[in-house]
Amino acid sequence: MQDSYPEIVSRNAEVIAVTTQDLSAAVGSIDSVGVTFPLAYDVTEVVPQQWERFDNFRTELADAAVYVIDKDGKLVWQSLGDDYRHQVSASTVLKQLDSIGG
Amino acid sequence: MSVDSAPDALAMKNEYGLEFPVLYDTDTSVASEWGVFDLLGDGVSAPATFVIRTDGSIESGLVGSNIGERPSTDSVLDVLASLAGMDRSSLNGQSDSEPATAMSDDDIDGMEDAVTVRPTAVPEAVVIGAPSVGDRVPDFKLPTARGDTVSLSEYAGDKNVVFVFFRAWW
Repeated sequence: MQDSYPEIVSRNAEVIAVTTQDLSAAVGSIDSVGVTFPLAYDVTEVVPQQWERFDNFRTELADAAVYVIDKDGKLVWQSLGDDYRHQVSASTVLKQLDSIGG
Repeated sequence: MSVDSAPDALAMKNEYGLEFPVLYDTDTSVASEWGVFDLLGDGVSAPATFVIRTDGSIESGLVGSNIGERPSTDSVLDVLASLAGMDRSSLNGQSDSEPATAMSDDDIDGMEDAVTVRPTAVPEAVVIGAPSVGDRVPDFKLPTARGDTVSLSEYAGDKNVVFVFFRAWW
């Protein structure tokens, strides 16, 4: 996702990531992966629980998921992991952004 | 519609197994718009039940004078049956086991007094639970690893958002 971040931004979109790890782990991600998009941390796990994406695979972490939300605040696409390692390709996300327009 | 926080409203929805949409209105803006916020001086919404016609207008409503005063389910069903042109007694063939508190004209008149502000349209609120494609998403505001905060709503009307539950290797 970081590699494709410039392409996402060029489509007038922003990436917001949420981790249930603590601040030090989040900072570690910035250092190790070079994350430049907003990376929020939610040790209370309230947000993934609200989205029903927490600990479904007994990892005690948020379950992998990617959502595309349009400018009106409506969910237009989602990719929910069928296990905690689930990843969706950045090209798939870019296609979704192209389909709704910037 | 609850004025509780999203986690509290979600816990209530799960505890009672509610299958209908449960909304939260933590800043009480919707309850205020409908004129039922803090009517009882307890800092929350007064118990209020409205029946809204298909054209968006209000058929009837009842605002309780205490936190436990609510119309019976049967009285609400009677109103709905009346709107649909049906006679409920002929449908179930027996009298209601629960005493019904009919929404009389006096009730509605009382509601008119209590509801000082009438909405021009049914406000849009956020559904509790995981949103489905097409739903408005619930907002959040969280601290970021860079020391500031981020929310979904700050991009509304400006940018599309790719929202990710993050794993470091992504």
